[in-house]
Amino acid sequence: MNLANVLEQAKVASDPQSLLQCFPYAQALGISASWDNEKLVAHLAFDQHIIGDLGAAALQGGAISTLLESTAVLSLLWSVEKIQMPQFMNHSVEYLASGRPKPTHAQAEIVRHGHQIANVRTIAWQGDRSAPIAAAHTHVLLVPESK
Amino acid sequence: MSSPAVPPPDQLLALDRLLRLSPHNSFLGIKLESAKDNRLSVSLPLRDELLASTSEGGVHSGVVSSLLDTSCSLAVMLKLGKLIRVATLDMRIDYLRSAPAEGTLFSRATCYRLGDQIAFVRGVAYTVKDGKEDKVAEAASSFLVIHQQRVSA
Amino acid sequence: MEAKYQLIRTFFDEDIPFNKLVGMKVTVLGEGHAAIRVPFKPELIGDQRRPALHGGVLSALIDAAGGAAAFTRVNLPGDTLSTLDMRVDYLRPAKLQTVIAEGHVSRMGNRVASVDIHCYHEGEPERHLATGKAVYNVRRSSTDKPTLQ
Repeated sequence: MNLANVLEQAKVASDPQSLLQCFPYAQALGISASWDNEKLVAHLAFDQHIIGDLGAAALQGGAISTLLESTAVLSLLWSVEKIQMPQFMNHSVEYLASGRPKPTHAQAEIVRHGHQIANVRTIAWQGDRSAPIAAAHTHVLLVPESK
Repeated sequence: MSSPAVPPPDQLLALDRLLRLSPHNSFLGIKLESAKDNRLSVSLPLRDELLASTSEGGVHSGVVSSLLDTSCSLAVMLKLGKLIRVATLDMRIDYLRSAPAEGTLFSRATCYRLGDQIAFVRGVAYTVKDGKEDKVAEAASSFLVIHQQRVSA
Repeated sequence: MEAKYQLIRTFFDEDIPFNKLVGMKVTVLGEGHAAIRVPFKPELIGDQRRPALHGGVLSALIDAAGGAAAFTRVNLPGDTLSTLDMRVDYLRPAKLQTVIAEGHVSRMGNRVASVDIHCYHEGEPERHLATGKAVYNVRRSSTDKPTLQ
C-alpha cells in the first residue's frame, strides 16, 4: 500500500481515518482519527489490552505515548505537501494524570515546520479537554537520515 | 504501610508475574530476561501487527515507547526491592536509528537515583546481531513512587 | 587531533562570552567525550537560603559539555553545531563548590548528534548532581549538504 496514494485520496475525501490503514500498529492498538472543529483529533478506544496495571486500572504509559506519537505523525502528514514518512528524533512525554479505562483523545499542534525538522506539541485528554492527562514534545526529522 | 523486602529469586519471579499481569505488556508479548544489580532487561519478539507503516520501516515507535516504559518502571521496583506502585511522570526518548521490523527487540533499564518520592531511570532499547548490541533508542525518565500502594503479583 | 582539540578549547574557553562569564574551562577532550569545569563563585548562587548553585548554571554547563563532546566528532574547522533539544534531570542541589560536567556522544549521525551528560562536584564523580541528554544539529561544511526542497 502506497502511503502517498492513500494520503492523496484521504485528503480528497477529507477523511483522516482512511490514513490509518497504512499504520498497522496504531490500528491494532485501537487508534482512530476524525475532525473536531476542523482540527484533526486522534482517539484511542478503551480496550483491556491497553491497561498497564490491572490493580490501578491505569493505561500503560507506552499506549498513551503511542497515541501522542501517532497524532503527531497524522497531523504532520496531513499538513505537508511533500509526502515522506517522518522519522522521529526524539519524543518527550509528561504524564499529568493516570489514564482511566475510557476513551482517550489527542490533538497536535505543529509549532515549527522547517525544511529538515518539525517540532510538534501534542496533548491527550479523556473526558475534559481542559484537563489533559499527558503532553508531549516531539522532534521529527522530515528528511530521513542516510545511514 | 511498609512492605517487606523481596529476596532476589522471589523478586525476579514477582517482577515476572507482575509483567504477565499487565494486559498491555501481555498484548505486546514483553518478557522479563534478567534482573540483577539494579539492571533489568526485557525482550519483545517482533511481529507484523507491531509495524508502524505498511509501506516501509520497522516497528512503531510506540512499541519502543511501551517497551521502555515497562523496563524503566520495573527497574524502579527492582531498586526499591519491593513491589510498590510507580507512575511514570515523564519519559523522553531519543530514537537513534530506525527500528527493526523483525527479530527481537530488547530493553535494559537502570534506576540510577532513587529519592523518597522520585526515581530517575535510564533505559535503552536495542537489537542483538552476531552477539553485538545495536542501540535503537534511549530513554531518560522519572517516576513517582507511590509508597501507599503495594502491587499484588 | 591535538590541533582540533585546541580549536574546541579556544572556542569554548575564549570565544563564547557567556562561558567566560560563568567561568567554564574545558578540562578533558577525547574522541566522543569532553569535560568542562566551573569553579565556584558567589555569582553562581541560585538560592541563598539553601544555599545552592542556580539550576541554570548546571544546564548551561551540561549544554556546553555536550556540545564540546559532539565537536570532537565533527570536521574542524568547518562544521558547526547548534543545540536542538536538551533535557536536564536535576538530582540533588549543587553545593557551593566546583562543578564538572562530562559529555559522552551516544550517537553521531550525519545531521544529528546525541550526547549523554552528567555533572558532579570535583572529587565526587559518582555522586551525580544532574544528568542531561542533548541533541545537536550538525551543519556540514562539505559538499554533501542536505539539499533543501
